[in-house]
Amino acid sequence: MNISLLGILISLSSAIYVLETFIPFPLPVGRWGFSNSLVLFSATLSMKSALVVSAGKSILGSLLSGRIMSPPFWMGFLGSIGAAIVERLLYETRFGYIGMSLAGSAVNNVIQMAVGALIIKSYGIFSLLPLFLAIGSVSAVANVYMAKAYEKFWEVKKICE
Amino acid sequence: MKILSPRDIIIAIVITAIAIVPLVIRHDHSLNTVVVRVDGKVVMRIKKPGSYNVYRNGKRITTVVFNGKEVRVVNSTCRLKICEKMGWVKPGEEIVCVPNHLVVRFEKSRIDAVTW
Repeated sequence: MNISLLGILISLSSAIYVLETFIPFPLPVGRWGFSNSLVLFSATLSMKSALVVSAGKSILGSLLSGRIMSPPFWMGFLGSIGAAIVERLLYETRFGYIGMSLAGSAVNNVIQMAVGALIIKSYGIFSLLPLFLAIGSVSAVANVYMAKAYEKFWEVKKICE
Repeated sequence: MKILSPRDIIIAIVITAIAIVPLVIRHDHSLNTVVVRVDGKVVMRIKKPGSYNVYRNGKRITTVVFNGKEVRVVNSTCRLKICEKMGWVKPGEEIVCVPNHLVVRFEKSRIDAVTW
């Protein structure tokens, strides 16, 4: 595990986490989740780096946007850790980027809603799941192309070294 | 690392199915009562149009407005006001306010269920 690479990945994804709130989102609640493209890329490196990047970007990103320790923070934090684990497991079983990203975004949404349901003590929140899965799949595919771009950059960097 | 492997198509199909099926079958016109839940407990069943204050532990948390067809919440005490931004909501949709532990949704009236 390369600590300087992890630092770059966490800082990039927290920056995207904060900046993506300025991109209009079709629903009144939620975000696109483009910062998960870096979690997706780190899932191809190792389980440890996927976990560190997903936890790091949730903590640093919500610290910067002032929502740390609030209910939305716990929903996003546990969701992105769950997504990181699933993405790494799918990588190890030889799935491609699209499968990893789609499954990661679906797991992220399901965990977020499960945490939300625990907070409000009602499963009613799950009726929003289809909508979130649909929008999440769009950004999941966008994340694939971003992760592919990081991969190219990472290879160039390795050659330079 | 490949972008698409044949196995990925299975995941894509499963997620698309989960996302699309409930969207197609969700419109149910027998839902005619607005049910307000706080902490998972029903605190109000609304059938007549009007504005209703909702309380949690003795404090007013929000106001539910029902116009006979759609429902919305106004003047919520939460910080992000996501519940207010949901706007007017039709049967089959719902309003959730996580900070106030509040859920507003349409359900079948108990009386309609026994009269037929």
